Amino acid sequence: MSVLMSFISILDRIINFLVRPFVIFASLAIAVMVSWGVFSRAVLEKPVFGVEELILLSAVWLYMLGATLASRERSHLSADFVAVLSKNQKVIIGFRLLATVISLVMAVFFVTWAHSLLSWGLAKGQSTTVLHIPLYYSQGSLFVGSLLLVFYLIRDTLQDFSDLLREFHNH
Amino acid sequence: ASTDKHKITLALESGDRTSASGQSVQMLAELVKKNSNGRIDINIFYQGELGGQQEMFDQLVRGNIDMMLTWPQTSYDERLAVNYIPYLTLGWEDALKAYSDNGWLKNILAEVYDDMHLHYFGPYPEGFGGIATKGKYATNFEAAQGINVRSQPVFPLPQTMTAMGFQATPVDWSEVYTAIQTGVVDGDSSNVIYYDYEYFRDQIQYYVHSKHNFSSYALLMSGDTWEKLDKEDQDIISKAAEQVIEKKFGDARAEDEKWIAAAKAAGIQYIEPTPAEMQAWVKRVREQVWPEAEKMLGKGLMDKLRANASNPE
Amino acid sequence: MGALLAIAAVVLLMMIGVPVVFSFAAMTLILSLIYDVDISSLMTTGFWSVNSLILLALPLFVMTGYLMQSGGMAARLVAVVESIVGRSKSGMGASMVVACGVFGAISGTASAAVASIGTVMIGPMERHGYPREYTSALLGISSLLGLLIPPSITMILYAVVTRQSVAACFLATIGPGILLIIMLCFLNWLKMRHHRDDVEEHLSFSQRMADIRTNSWKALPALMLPLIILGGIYGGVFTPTEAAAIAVVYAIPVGLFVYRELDLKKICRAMLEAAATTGVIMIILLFSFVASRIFTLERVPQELTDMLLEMFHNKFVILLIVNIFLILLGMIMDDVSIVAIISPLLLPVMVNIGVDPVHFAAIVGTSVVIGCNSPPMAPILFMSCRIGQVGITKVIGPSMFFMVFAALPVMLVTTYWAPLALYLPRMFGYIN
Ligand code: NA
Ligand code: NA
Repeated sequence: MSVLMSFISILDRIINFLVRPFVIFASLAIAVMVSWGVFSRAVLEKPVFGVEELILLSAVWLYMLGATLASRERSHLSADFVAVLSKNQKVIIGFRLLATVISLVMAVFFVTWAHSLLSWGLAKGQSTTVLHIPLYYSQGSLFVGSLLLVFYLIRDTLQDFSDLLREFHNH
Repeated sequence: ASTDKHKITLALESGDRTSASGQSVQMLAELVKKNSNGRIDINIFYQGELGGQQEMFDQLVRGNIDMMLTWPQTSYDERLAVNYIPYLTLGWEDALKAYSDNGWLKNILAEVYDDMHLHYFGPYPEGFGGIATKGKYATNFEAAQGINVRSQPVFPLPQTMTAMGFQATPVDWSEVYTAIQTGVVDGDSSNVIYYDYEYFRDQIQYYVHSKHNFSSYALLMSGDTWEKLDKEDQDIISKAAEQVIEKKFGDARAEDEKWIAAAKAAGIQYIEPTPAEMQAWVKRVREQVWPEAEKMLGKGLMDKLRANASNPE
Repeated sequence: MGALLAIAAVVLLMMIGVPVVFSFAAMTLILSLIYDVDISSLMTTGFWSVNSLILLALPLFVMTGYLMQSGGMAARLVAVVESIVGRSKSGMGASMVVACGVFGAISGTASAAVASIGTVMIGPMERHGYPREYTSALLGISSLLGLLIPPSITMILYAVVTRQSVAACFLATIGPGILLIIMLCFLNWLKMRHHRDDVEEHLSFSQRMADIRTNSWKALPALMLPLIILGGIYGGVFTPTEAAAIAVVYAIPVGLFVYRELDLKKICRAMLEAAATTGVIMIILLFSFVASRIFTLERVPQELTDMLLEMFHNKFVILLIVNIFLILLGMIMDDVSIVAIISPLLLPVMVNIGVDPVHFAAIVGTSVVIGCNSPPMAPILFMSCRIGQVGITKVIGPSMFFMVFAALPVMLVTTYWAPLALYLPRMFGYIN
């Protein structure tokens, strides 16, 4: 188990190394591109066609990778209901494991749906109207994002499972 | 005889229950229901109910939506841009002839749809587009300078606006009203007067009938849905579609004139450019936009268009 | 009613701690099984829905919030408000409420207000004799002004899922927002006007004016931002999305060069946090759009409308049922879920009984104020307790006080007195 965990942690560091700079760059790029659109329309009186295609391409990647950042920190929006109802650590950790496993299953479904979207996009070869950017460039973000969600949920499942084992050993 | 029951989802890209296109599809649904003795049920969704233009077209190609009345999206196949080539046909007779059964344009389009695995029942003509504006208007290139109009981001409509002297700004249909109201744009372009009258009449003051595009929707069915139907049911739907389309060909011109009158009555100034102004616009647009279109559509297709295009009087 | 079954399943999953985003994935899966539709092919709906320029305002307004927080603007705003209303016995509490309102005119979320106003004010308020649990409860409610006073992420979401104008929905919650400010200030005055304040200051009129002048001058760059955002949107210069981008581009140099509290590291931090927050919302939205599409295809909203109209014949009774429904759901669901899934389901009912969609925006907005503070799913109240370092159980009492006597009346007035929500949208010509 510890070999697996250290493998996961190396992979996590690599992902993090790639995702963070991308997210920061994409955020700033979007803000600047949108503002530039306003400037060129309102001040230069020369509206630009096509920038919004670049903006949206960056945006979907930003969303999907942003969500993986939340996954990495386990900071998904969720309720703390079980902890309110029960003070028993085993019950609390047990429910946490259950919730993580359900999440993992759903994330795997998400991967298959996103994969179907991507392969359909690749087969049809649609592209945007002005810059002719293939749509699978943006559709791919869902697939990559969902894969990363699965990765972090596998990590969490292992973590919760070992927490539960420890809880049973201690008592 | 067939005993299969079918539930068919039909979506309108624009137009609500009371619009001309809304009533046309209701007529289609009734005909199909009657002729199939209630076996085929067409379930209609009006504008916006099933999402935006691109999304709905995707759903049609994927088969989640069975039928659609739509302005085709060029994202799958750029050849569909032939539907939007500016100043291709210049008068009602020419336009209707081009789109009629075995008309040259209809044949080109049918081929493209077939490649996309869509069944094409035929065109749904609406009329010539114009430019609806607030505050100022233009009937020539010079006067159009500095007038900012919303354009559909479909090639080559923005390019056409620019060639005519306007500034073209892409705005999604659902945001056009607010954009005109707040002055982000001065008006709308390339729609038949019905839409500008129906949705923006308290905002716009002028409608210049530049007639640079002939607006024609396409009535389409997803290839998968089409193949699932047996011959008898295919015929029932085809015949009903034919009746609806035929009626529209008869009604389109009168319908457009009805909305021109309604717009005038509502205080919108309806302006027709003089023949000289029209010729100047036609010349500019054909010189600038057609070569660009050729790059996208290929010389063969463009030669066909040139051979069939109407000549300005 | 497959739809109700699916929603019940989501609630159950959320209760056992499954994150909202995966509960929503489960909901779409269940719906696809019940109604026999293929989600793979509906993913294109999800894709196109988040691929939207209007929704892009979300990450940008969240970024602005984080940049304001770390760039020192929040502290300056608090200083101005305090110098204007802060010196009386109940003044500190009123300052917090008004500061949240002013901050709300810049930020699009409640959480940004909790973090920044809370961090700046909880300590000083304690010195002025305010109990921490009281302050945290007040902060929890006041921070929701962040979504009533535009710009507002919640209203952008509502506008997108119900296809209304963002600008109109922004205007609809201003009236209820101002009413909430007044109610909270009044309740705070009732409670705190006689409390013991050891550090109470008595400044002369001229001192006070001088104070207000210096603080306003310092806060000027921050106070300009709402003018730029709202002036730009309603003056026809740009769309809400563009306003959000300009706010980001404006906040960075102000934080770097004017207030000098921002640095590269803090900017990166702000971008990462904004991306994490909005990324999760976007995936939740993606699934809720798919679910909504299934609802529409199966005509669920119509069924629900017919059912409600058959059971109840009076407009006011239906409104009351909807109010209760929103409050109960608000306890167990988060604000994004309510807005994304419940509002499009209920909107046809509302339209049917003659409630304008823009009016319903305000009703949903005011119900979210209650929902975000009512456990078990009370993200804002939990956050407020964390910032105030008090246990949730201690805060529930004072929190209930503000809910029952401020948030609830505001929701009811908004529901039954339409002009409160509709006056501004009508004045600006968004509705007839
Ligand atoms: Na706000
Ligand atoms: Na709640």
